This record gives sequence, C-alpha cells and structure tokens, in this order.
Amino acid sequence: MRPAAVALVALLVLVIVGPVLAPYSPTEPVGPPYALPGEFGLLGTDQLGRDVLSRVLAGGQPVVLTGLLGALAGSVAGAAVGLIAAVRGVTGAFLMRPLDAVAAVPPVLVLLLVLTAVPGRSGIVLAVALAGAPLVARVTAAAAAPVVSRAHVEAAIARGEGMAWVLGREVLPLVAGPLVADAGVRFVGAVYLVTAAGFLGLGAGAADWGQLIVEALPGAVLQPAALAAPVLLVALLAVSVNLVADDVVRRSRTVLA
Amino acid sequence: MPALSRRELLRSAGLVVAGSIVAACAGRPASGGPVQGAGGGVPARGGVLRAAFAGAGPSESLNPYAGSTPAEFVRSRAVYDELFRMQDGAPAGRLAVSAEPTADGSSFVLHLREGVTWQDGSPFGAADVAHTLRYLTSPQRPYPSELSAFLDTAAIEVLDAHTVRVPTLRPVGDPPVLFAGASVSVLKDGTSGFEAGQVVGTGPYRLVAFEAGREARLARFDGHWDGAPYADELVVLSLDDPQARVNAVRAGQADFANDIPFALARTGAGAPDLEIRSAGDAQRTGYGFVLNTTRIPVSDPRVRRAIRLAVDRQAMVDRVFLGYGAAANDLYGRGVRYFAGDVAAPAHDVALARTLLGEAGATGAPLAIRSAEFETGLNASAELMAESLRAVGLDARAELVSPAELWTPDSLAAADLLAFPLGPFPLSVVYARSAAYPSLAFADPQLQQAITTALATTDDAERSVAWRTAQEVMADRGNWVVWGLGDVLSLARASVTGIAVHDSAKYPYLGKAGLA
Repeated sequence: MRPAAVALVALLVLVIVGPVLAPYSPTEPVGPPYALPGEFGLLGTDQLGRDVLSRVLAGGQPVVLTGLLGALAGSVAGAAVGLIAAVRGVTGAFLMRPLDAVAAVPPVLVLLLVLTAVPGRSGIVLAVALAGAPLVARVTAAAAAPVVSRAHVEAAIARGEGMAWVLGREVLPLVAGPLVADAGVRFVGAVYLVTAAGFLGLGAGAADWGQLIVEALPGAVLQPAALAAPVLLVALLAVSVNLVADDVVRRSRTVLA
Repeated sequence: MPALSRRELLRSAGLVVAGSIVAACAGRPASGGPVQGAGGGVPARGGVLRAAFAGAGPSESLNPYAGSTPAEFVRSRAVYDELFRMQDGAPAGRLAVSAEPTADGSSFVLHLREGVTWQDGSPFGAADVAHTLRYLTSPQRPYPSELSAFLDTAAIEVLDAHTVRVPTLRPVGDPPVLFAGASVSVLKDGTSGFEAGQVVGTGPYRLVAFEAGREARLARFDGHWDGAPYADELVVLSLDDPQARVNAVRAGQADFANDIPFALARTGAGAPDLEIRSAGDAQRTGYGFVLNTTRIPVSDPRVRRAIRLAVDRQAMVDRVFLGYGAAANDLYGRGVRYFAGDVAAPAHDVALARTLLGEAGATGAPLAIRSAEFETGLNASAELMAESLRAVGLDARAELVSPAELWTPDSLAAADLLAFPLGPFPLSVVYARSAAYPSLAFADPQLQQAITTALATTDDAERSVAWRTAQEVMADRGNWVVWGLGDVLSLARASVTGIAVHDSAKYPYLGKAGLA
C-alpha cells in the first residue's frame, strides 16, 4: 500500500475507535481552561478545561460518517443521472439542466438553505449530496460519452436490452474507475462542508472538528494545540483521500485505454 | 440566526487561523490586563463612530419595545430618550424631571422636561408620554412589559402640556426607579409603525439607514435638548459572534466591540492602538440560570435545591470568566440598593444533591438548559452546567439556540433552565422583569407579598425590610442559580471615548460618545 493509503486507513481506524480510546468524556472538565499540552492531557485543555485529545477523538465520527453518507448519496444520484444523460440525449439534457442550476450555487449556500428547511444531521447529509450530485453527474456523463458509442454497447441496445442492463453491465464497469476517484474528491468536499456546518454552529449534536475549530479560535494564542489538532486532522483526511483518489484514477486509465 | 455574522467570521477565519498559529509560535504575548473605564479624554466633534454589538439577525426591529439584544438596545437608546434612567445607582430624570406619588401610591404625577423637540421639529409634550405608556402596556406588544402590571394606562390624564397624572393598578411607591429600570423609550404621539423613514425620536441621533441584522446608520441630531452629540455619524453593527466583533475592530471595520471573549483579555488587544476595557467591578453582570418552575421536575423545591448544590461556583468562574469575575450567591442585582450581599452562596455538595434528587424521584430526569450567546460566556456556562447536573444524576443537556429564537414564548416554555444574565439593575426591575414571563416567574405567596410591599411603600425603612424578605425567600427556595459575576469587557480603538453606562454596560449609551 502507498503511504497515503496507509495514512487514510490509520486515520479512519482512529476515527472509528477514537471515542473508545479517549481518556476522558468529551464534555467533562479535567483541568484549568487553556492548559497547554503536558500536565493536563496530551493536547492540553480547551476553553472550558475539557481534554482536547478526547474531544478531537470524539469529534471525528460525526465529520467522517456524515461526510461519507453525503458523498455516497451524492455520488450514486449524480452517477445515475450522468449515465442516463450519456445514453439518452434529449432526456439527459432535460435531467442535467436543473442540476446545472444547483451546481451554480456555492456549496456553503446550499448548506445554509437546506439546513434552514431540514435542521439536523439528515439536513447536512442532504446538503452534501445536493452540492455534490451535479458535478458527479457531469463527470459521469463525460466519462460515459465515449463508451456509449462503442460496438458492444450498440450491440446490447440492438439486442433490445433494457436501459438498466445496458448502463449496469456495459457502461458502468468501464467508467467505474473515474467514478470511484471522483467519489473520493466528493468525500473531501463533503468533509469540508460538514466541517463548515460545525464551524457555523449548524452542526447537529456532538461537537465535530468544525465546531472544535471555531471554539478554539478566541483562545488560539493561549492554547494553539486546541486549534491545530482539528485543523491538521481535517487537512490530513483531505490530503490522504485526495492522494488515494489520484491513485485510483491513475490505475483506472490503464483499464480504459 | 447566527449564520450571517458567522459567515463574516468564516471569511476572516483563514487569516485568523494562520495568524494565530504564527503568533503562537512567536511566543505568548504579555497580558497587560484590561483598562478600567470607558476611555479617557473629551470626544472631538465630528467623525464616524462604528460600534459592534450582538444583534438578532433578520428579526431585528426598529420598534424600541420589540428588541431583546444589545445592538437593538444601543440603537434605540441613541434614537429615543427615556423618561428616567439609572445613573450611578440612582434614577436620573431625562424626559421626565420628577414623579410624585400620592401617599397611598394609587397614582403619581409626572412632570416633563420643557423645551424638548422631536427630530422632525415638533415639540415634545404630555400627549407623547400618554401615548407611549398606552402603547407600552397594550396587549399587541411583542414582549410583555413589566409596567403592564402597574399602570392603569386607560385612565391616564393629561393635566397640561408638560404634566401627566398616571393612576396605578398596584401601588407604586417609587415611580422613577420603576421607569428607569423598565427603560421607557418615549414615542411620538400617534406612532404605530416603525418602518425605516417613520422613525422619529427625541434622542441625540436620527436613524438614516437600517439593515436588520447588519447595521444601523445614525446621524447627529443637533437639536438634542441635552446638547448636540459629538460624532457626526454613529454606525451600530450587528455581529452576534464575539470573535467576529473582535475581528471587526482588528480589521478596522469597527472602532468598538462590546462584550468580547474573556480569552481576549488574556491574549491582549492585538495592536498598539487598541485597548481592552473593563467596565469595572460595579458593572459586573450576574450570570445565572432561571429555573422554570412550571415544569417537572424543577417544580419540586428539593430538585431546585439539588441543582444549586450541584454547581461548583468557583470552578464556573475560573472556566467561563477565566478569572475576570467572582462567584455569586444566587441573587441577581448585586451592586444596587437593598441587595442582600451577605447571603452566603450555597456550598458545592454533590452527595447531598444526589440524595435530594433521589428523595424527589427525579434521578435521571431529562433537563433542557437553553442558552444563546447574546452575552459572552452564556453558552459555555450552559455546557458546564449540563455537565455539573449530569454529575449529580440528571439527564441534562445544553440546547444552544440563536438569540432571536431564545426569547420566543415556545422556546422559553420548553426550557427547564434558561441562561439569564442581569447587570446591576434596581431590585424592582430584577424581580419584575423575570416575573413578566410566565416561565421565568416564581409563584410564592411570601415572595409576592414582599415584592408588592417593596414596590408600593413610600417609606424607605419598610422598603428595605421588604426587599430583605424577598431575597431571603429567593435564596431559600427560589428559582435562580446565579453562579457568578462577570466583568464586561470591550475592545476599543484608544481614541474612542465617552461611552456611558446607564443601566447596563452590556448596552451602553452612545449619545455622548465620540473619537478623541
């Protein structure tokens, strides 16, 4: 495995078992506020004297799980629309236009709008999916366009195979690589958006990394670790996912060629 | 809705993150400690003073009686004048010069200031005050006024152009204190709408532009009875997020930011021409929670006592105020006349709290603590409170909402505990204001009797005894947990001066403010 993949797997394992590993409850004060790393925990304490390490470990799951769900929903929906658009010209265009309109709205605005209507975790997932789907559809349509004119696809259509069969059996395997790579990029975008929701105070329930960042801002000079830890973890997650996604693209090109 | 100001914050967040990390690497700055007071020097005439306060987002209103946030209070106070205001702990006349109650308190006569003109040029008089009092106590008001319970506004008599007789529903022994505490902004006779363009006050500044949740621009009113103000223009910015207010001053978009994070006092102002100011010990705000006695299990006095015992007051002061404050004794109104400062703060006793909860059958009961960050540290205190209450066996959780949402009747009714800050207001206000909301009131016959006596009597000794009784009832079985007194900190350009504290340093009077 490449280093990026190793880092990603390690990070995901940490996120999954993090809450169990945390030395303290994420809400319990364990020392004076803004204690530097050392006496009161490996990463010091936050503005209320809570253990930063425990909070960071507990704050990963909401970010990663929400991001993953949102990215998955957006990718599946976007890929379905993109594939249909590639095969059915007119219907496809009809399907793509509204999505293009959504793509023109900045993701953070989509997030704010959706959360106004559907507050809570499901709202964030919906917003992430909605923000990601149009671009996935574009990528899928572009990747599938050269494939649909291939002989085996036309043969399948001529045999009278159904739409689902053609897309699933003949087209999808050939564009799967780019789609997986794109899903990786979507996931990074999703993590950013979930973090932004936490940062804007729109996160649901437990404190996620975004909320940890905004809470640590006023005291960043007093206790830099409380700010640096969640920022670095978000960055690390994004970079390793991107590198792994790049890797997938590189390999999938050889399949396509 | 916090989104707008937070978005501003988002914009500057990258810079701040980078800047903070760089600053942190460069070593911790020396903390000079806050400067006491409101800035020295005499303000010069002219200039634009931009001040940032927490607001209520798009729901902000130009109606001075609809507001509930510092930005709205500060704006209203600059546009309108009050009948009386609190100054150095005593009521001082503004548009009213005196109020004489009859011996039995059944009515009083208000003598109004002469020679005052409205911003549209018309003269101010008794009809305006009568209209204001009627409007203030009308049932259509968005927020109930504590005065509704006292004034018989239907029977107000205009005696002459500058004299009004106001009959009371309950005896009122000291009308100036009642008015000063209630902060009565006087409206022009006939005022019913508050759209931009219709707003006319007698105050030192005229409203020229208003964008709810963003800013209000106010221009100097040269005809003000108290002398023309100093700054040509006053800009009141609404920024909910304390860090966004700080950033606005540091980035040069504002000259003054009130109610800034306590952490900032430790980190320093950030630039040589900026200073952190503290409004001082006498202006400390009481931070606490009002328990909703209409809800189970808080309705049980044993549970209320357990909640008090569960709080580690000194730990809360250390964590929320970072030491810029002191522990309090569960009573609001410290620093004013008749305050019972000698009542001891309840001890921190987890074992006894658990026992009491067990006796009341409330162990494991769900408990919602509602808070909004309209004053710095409220949300932090709500989170710590939830943790303290979980430690004694209550299923407590902090529900953090936006300032506008917090004050909706539904939201108040759904809260078991409400984060509630009160500055050094007169006790008549302290007790009447919380009683104006059914979910914040405390129905206790002895307390009601004592408050009624204290408000009705014209005899000072009798009033003093009555307030003593009221506070003893509150300390014994009441519905307040006032855990600390926090300093009011602001970040200001060193040239900003003349910011006056009337009834609360959280929403100062800017009528005499300016740039030195």
